[in-house]
Amino acid sequence: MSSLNKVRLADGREFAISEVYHQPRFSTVELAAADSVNLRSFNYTPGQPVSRTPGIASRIATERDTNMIKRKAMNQDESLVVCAITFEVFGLSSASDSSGDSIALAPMLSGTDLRRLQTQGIFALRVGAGIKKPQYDVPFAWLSQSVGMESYASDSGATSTHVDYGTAGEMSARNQEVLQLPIYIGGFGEHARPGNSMYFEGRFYNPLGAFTGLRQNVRIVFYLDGLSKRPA
Amino acid sequence: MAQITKIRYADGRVVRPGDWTSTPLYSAVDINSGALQNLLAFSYGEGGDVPGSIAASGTGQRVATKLDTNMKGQGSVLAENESLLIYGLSIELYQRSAASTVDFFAGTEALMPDPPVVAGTNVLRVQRDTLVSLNIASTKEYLKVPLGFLPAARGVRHVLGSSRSQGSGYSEGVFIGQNGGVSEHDHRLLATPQEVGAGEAFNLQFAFPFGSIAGLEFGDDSTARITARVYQRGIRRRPVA
Repeated sequence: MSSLNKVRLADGREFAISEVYHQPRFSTVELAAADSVNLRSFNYTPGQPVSRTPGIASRIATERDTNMIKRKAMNQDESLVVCAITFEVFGLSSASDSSGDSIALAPMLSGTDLRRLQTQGIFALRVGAGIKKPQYDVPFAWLSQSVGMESYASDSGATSTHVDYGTAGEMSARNQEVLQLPIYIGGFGEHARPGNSMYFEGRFYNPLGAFTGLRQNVRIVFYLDGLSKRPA
Repeated sequence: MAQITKIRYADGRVVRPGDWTSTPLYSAVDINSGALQNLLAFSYGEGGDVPGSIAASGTGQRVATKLDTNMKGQGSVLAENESLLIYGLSIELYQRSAASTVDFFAGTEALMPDPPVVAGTNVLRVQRDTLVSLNIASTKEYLKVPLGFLPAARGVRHVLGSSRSQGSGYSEGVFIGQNGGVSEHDHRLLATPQEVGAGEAFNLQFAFPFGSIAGLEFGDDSTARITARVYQRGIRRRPVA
């Protein structure tokens, strides 16, 4: 590492130098409509396979899928203070109604399918190696969506398109819960300095298995929004 | 330079007078369908070429006007007599086309509205496949996020009648998208403002990690683009005249 990360004063005291800036961590999961869902996130880096269920074709992650530098952990010279958790969501396949009319053309995800994910999905964040209790563990409905598209639709003129689209709340950067107790991911105590990393992982699952009624294959990008620390 | 940029008092103290303004610095890039290279906003000044664009003649790039940027000089570097505090960035999207209103997308994907309004499906495609990063002083990235993380906080809150935009041939209704909310309170405020000092290099890079934006639908208009106009939110120091 070529950056300056430690200064030793003449009296022997040492200062760890780092830079703290607003930079969320994000990670993508993909699920097929008919599959049971128990997916991990933040568990791969660009160049490794994206987290997916069996019904989704394997693909290699790009920087658009995740900005993790080390899988399942902050890198040794980084840490993260998670102040909010949010997500964005896309349809990977299109949806039609029973008569074959289009209701959600990919990458739209129908509002009905999003509600299905909300009512049966669970998001959990675990921090620390071997720690079984999640730091955050909520029904997916609890997560507000601050990244996405505000949209407007006219009613259909003809017969073959009937839009069903929705977002998890108002499309605003403010539409994410600010955690009353931010979650720290990094070293603690004397280890709270560059040179230490900490395990963490997200999980998205349906305790019932597959999502009832889900019509579209789905991509969800989870964001741990907050302050990142990196070498100065 | 004929401006007063520095005053030295008798006791040796030096002050640098400046004129601070809330006027945002802004810059646009044009996003095309097909294979895409990285596009750099704030990399050109008025009169320069807009990255990713195509001139109305069909050859060469579009020359930037005040609608594209208020950067001075060559771009990519903040002028020596300016400085910038970035509290946030807003990215608005609008559709650019040679055909102005009528049936721009006729015969292609249903639901498409007239330019400059962007179809919801196209907005989602741009959000899905675009990564933006703020580079300052060419040393490292000071923010690197998917495009949707930086909402426009500008646009139109539409009310739509039955199945019509201005074009008259739409039979399927229209579906309109905006990059996030359209109101001022929808913007994302950075928890840690970023500073661009006088003479420092900076840009906002639009990257396309998949190589293109899959499925971006422009009908048969080869000159069509989606313009992404980025606004710096914060304050800016200009020279005192």
